[in-house]
Amino acid sequence: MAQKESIVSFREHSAWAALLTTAVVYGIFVFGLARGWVGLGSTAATRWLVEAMVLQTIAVIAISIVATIRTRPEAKDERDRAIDLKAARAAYIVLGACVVMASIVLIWAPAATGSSLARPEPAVVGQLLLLGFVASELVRFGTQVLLYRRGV
Amino acid sequence: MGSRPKPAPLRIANRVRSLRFQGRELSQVEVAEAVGVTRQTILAIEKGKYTPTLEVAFRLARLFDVPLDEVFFCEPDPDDPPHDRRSRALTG
Repeated sequence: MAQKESIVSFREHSAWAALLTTAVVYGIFVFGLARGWVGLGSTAATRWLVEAMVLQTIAVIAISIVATIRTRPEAKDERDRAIDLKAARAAYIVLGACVVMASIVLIWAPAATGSSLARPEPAVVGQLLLLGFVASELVRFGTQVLLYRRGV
Repeated sequence: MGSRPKPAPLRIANRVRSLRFQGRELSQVEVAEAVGVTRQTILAIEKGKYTPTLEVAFRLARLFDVPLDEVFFCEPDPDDPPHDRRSRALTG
């Protein structure tokens, strides 16, 4: 089957797919948390997170199949690698900040209040760390899209 | 202790598009396959959105059978007088 030569590369299609699916799927999760549909740290929130991961994976696979049909899959070249590196560096900063903040909450918040009751639930910290990871992934995909559009 | 002032970024331009149409009239796909990058990377180079590595730059020069500085060159800064440019280039 002849495939149309596209201005947008297969890698850029993939970055867009990952960015949009991550934003939509985890956006619904965060919206649910904000509206109080699920409580942070609850079993329901953990189930939602797992469902969100599965849903996002399925969505990315589906969009990647469509992107493969529309554009010819190509091996990564030096520009793709340069974009990946810059995007990973931006994401690392976000992830690092989230880990530091979670550590501060875990270590210093109970000490500051002088009560062990103030220590957050492990599920809460775990879910916050996962959301931090999602935020860093959003930054990574967003940076990739930006660099593909604007130039490296 | 004073730190060395950071030099202003160079504006690197290229003649890839015009060289493609000289002689053999190569398509972006043909150039991309010859130098081992994607067509979108050749497009980005032509638009000035990406400066390739030295390896790809030399491959492009070899493909077009011209010296490297005929493919890539520094665009003159309009705010920079020619005399200053030359002396700065010589002194670093």
